[in-house]
Amino acid sequence: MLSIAHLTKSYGEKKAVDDLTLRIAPGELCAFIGHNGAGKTTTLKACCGILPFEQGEITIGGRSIKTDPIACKQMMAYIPDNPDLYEFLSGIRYLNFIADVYRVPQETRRERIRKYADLFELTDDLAQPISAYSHGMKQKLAVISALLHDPKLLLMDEPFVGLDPIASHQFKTVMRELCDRGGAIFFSTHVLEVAEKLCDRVAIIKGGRLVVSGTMEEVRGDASLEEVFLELEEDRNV
Amino acid sequence: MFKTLLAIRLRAEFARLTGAGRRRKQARGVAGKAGFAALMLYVAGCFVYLFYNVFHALAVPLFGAGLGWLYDALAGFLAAALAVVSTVFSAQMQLYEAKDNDLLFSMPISPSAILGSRMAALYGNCFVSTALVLFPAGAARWGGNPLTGAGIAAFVLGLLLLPLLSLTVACLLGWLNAKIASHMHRKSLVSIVLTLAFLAVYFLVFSRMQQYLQWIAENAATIAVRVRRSLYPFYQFGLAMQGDAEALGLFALCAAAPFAVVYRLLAASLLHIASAKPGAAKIRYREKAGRVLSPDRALLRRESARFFASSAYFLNGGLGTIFLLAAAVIFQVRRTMLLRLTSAGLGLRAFLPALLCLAISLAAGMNTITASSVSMEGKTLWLVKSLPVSGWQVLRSKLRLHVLFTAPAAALAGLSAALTLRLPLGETLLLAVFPAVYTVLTAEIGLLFNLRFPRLDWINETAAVKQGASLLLTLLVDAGIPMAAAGLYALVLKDAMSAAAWTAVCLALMAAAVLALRRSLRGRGAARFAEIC
Repeated sequence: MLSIAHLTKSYGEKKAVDDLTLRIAPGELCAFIGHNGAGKTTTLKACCGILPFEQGEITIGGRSIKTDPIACKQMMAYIPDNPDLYEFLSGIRYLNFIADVYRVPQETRRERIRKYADLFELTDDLAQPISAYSHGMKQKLAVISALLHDPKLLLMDEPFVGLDPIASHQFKTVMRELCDRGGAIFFSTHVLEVAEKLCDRVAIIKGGRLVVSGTMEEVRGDASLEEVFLELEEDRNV
Repeated sequence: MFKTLLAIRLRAEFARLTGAGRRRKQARGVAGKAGFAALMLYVAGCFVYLFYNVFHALAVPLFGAGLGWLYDALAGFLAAALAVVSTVFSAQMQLYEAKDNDLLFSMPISPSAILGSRMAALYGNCFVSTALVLFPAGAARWGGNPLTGAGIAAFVLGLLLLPLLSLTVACLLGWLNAKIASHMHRKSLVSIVLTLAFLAVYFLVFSRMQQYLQWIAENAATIAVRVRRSLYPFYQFGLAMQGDAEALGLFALCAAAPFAVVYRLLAASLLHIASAKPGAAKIRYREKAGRVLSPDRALLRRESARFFASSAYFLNGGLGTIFLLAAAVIFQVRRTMLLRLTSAGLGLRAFLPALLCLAISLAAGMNTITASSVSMEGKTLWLVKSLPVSGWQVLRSKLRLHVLFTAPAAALAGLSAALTLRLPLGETLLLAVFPAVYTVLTAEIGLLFNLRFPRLDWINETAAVKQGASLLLTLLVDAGIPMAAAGLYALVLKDAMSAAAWTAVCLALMAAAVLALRRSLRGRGAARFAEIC
């Protein structure tokens, strides 16, 4: 579903991502782990076409994000680390805007808005302006909007930040269901326990370079993911 | 601590005005600072010139009638009014809607220091406005009626005390405005209505200034009685400026006592104000079938929602439309005056369509919606870039909003003028089409500049809609094109062709420029939009 080949992205002299290659198949839930500034957000933004990159290729469902960005974006959804949404809209107008852009039919969008807004307990607040939302409510709205067009690929940057425990739990279930339907999810997180329990695959990035990638069992072996990550970090500091 | 807080507040105000504190590579250079200082001096100079002329006209009749105190009372009143108007929104934001309350109250800082620093910054604001009136008023009376030694002392004390009176009123009005706004779902509406009302009053007063001055001069005695009865603090201020020490004491009491009461009330309730969240009544969501829109229409609706939701964006980007609508009405209401002007034998008739096209285009060019439309994306730029729409679709929605908001008003103003003057069909069409095409051109120019000079790192949207190279260049070019065309005709082409023919040539050139710029925006503009992050 997502194929990243030799991705390189620089900010001036500094290489934020250096020759990163990674594949995520349909049905896979992949965690993206790394220290602050390792290149996770840059990689995710490049994957969803927000950030242009110098070298490499990213394809989604076989289509290049460089040459066919609209077809790629139609298949995916992105949730950033900080839900900066349109504060001048109400929650429901924002969701309708997203549904319009993704051409979600009337009945389908009503069903999905009802389903996910109820699930994340946001229904009562949908008429409120987004400017009146708390951080957690904005995050929930971003999650609902990402699910409206039933994406084949979900890209997320720290998606659980700001979500309350119930919403977090519900969202993990929704993520699993999406993958069970053949979708793929690639998300960054610092909560290693979540990654360990939820994901099929894990990719660890360090200084812009991918250091480990594979199934959860392959990467952690007999140790915990935390131990593996800390060991890799120690290697870096040596 | 007070000094540190005050320094931070003043630095923030300075950064808000000048755009300092942005990323280092974009920070304003020495030339930029000099340019900004020159601009501020120019604005201050305009105010000083205006008020000097007003008080120069009043000095002779009022001092001649032995009503020198009324002269100073009126100066004090005007200074206080200007200070209130220029401070009320700042007072609302800094006292009742401050964004840094949580941070400051969590630190070991006393509430009185927080309030004191905010009040001091607001006092500074009032002081500058007061000085802009009192200094030219003082200079205008200097010739025939110089201040005595006691008068100069009263002037200095008045200059320091009058801002306290203005600040007290600004604090109360700011509180009222914040209360009203907090209970409204469309908060921007309050600001828009108040600002437009202020502008209407300003233009009305400015256009009738000569009549008002004459009225004051002719009815000075009656006005003096009213001022003595109804504007007691200013009456005392006027007397104090004549060297009356007792009046100075009374004025000081009038200025300081209400301020002390308001300050004390605010100090006692600052924590409550900071933690209170009155807000508008919650709107309960009821599911209903909305209209399904195409992506293009959804993008246009997004642009218009952003435009109408922000009073700063609306008032800075769309003021031209207000002027155009006002012009359309004035062309009908002042029909006789317009007809008299054209039949006065000044040879205006031949130039009329061209002159009206020029005037309407200049007003339409004041709209700068597209010139800040990319900047207005700010931190939400990621969103539209992650959606399955092309860069050109996004840019086109910005152009459409600008054109839809401006062109009908421009065409209406042109048609209104044509109807009043009973112009033939050809000239009527020219008046309807020319400003509309010019609107499309200015929309494209604004967008082009904003793509080249976007400003996305703003915290307050005022920075995106009021400052930056794109806005300045757009305004210059928007005004420069019609002026250059008019100048070229007057200096070079006047004998070669008629004004109507030159206007038609300009229309054709503009249409060609519109097509060329559209092509450029569709290609390079969209590519540039993809690069911005």
